[in-house]
Amino acid sequence: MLVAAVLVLAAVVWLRRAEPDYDAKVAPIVLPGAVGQRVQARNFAVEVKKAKLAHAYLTKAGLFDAAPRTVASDGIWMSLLVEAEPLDEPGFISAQLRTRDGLIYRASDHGRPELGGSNFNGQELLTGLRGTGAYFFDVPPDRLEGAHAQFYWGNVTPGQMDHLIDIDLGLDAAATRKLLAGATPTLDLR
Amino acid sequence: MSRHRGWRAVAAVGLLAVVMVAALGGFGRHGGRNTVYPIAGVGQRVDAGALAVTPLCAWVASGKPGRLPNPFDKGRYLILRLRVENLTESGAAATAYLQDDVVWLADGKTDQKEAAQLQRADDHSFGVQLQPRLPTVVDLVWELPGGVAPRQPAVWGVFRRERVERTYLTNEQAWVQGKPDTKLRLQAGDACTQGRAS
Repeated sequence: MLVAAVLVLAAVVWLRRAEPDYDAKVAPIVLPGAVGQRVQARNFAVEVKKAKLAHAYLTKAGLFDAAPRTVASDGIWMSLLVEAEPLDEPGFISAQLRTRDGLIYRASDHGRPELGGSNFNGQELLTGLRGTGAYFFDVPPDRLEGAHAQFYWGNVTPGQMDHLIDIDLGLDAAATRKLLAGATPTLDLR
Repeated sequence: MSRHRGWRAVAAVGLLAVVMVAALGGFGRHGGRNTVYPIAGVGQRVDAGALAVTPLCAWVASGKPGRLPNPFDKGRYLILRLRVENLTESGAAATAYLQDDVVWLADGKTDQKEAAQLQRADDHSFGVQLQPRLPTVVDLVWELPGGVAPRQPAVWGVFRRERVERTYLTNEQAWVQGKPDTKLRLQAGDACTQGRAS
């Protein structure tokens, strides 16, 4: 009887320790994809068409600006040209870059760079209309290799137990070198 | 009711909670008004757990950085320019951490005030994003009460913020603000020319 009680107690302790933590229990459900592939989540779809790098952007002058505005990066700007579509209701599709070592770089707010409605981060998109726009990420150049782009519904953080589209950008060492070599000093977005 | 033992116990626990909150409250209260904190000046990096901050300069101005002169704005502003490094794994909440963790100590010891706004130093935009391991130069702006010049040298407090694997309430991992860590002491001058992150 005593042995059985000890075994049951040990089993309880082992099960408690093997239990996933809270973050793992409510983690988003990942939908993998690749560049050029349309991936459909619960209520939105995304296709990444192209990735590009630039050190700075030149955008139209604002209302109180005397000249076109230069939007500098702290690292390097990565832009992802995408086609995105809410499927059930109007709303926000947000993006982040996940580096090989797990760091998360959120897409820059739609005011930086300011492109009317073409910077999709923080931009409400309409149901059933495939919009073409871009997401912009300020990233350290040495973190690009192996990075994945991730997309989720809403404009805060990926929803718990909701879909998270994960696009492999194909940034192996050679592809990253090529992308970096082609980085534009100042990309004119006017 | 006050004679009831249960209520006395509840009152005692409540009083204890108030004392604990007051004791852990902030600069000047944690460990008493005269607690000595490490002091950092211009160019000295402070690792405060979630963020590392390096004060670059401070100044007083009659307008917010990058704004056109506004005859209707009679305020005077204290601005602290920092190079900030996000040492967490995500850019999601770091800007809020900065606003919570770097406070102006108006009297040099207590009276802590959070910045009214944060702006990027290079283009003065409000969309400050502190991405992981990517130093960013940020201006923190305080409106001076009554337009009165600040005490010199101006003093700011930096709180420490540590990663907690499981918070008590939700069991989620989080970066939680801890004790006061360091003071920044700078002469608030008239102008500041340092502005790029590098």
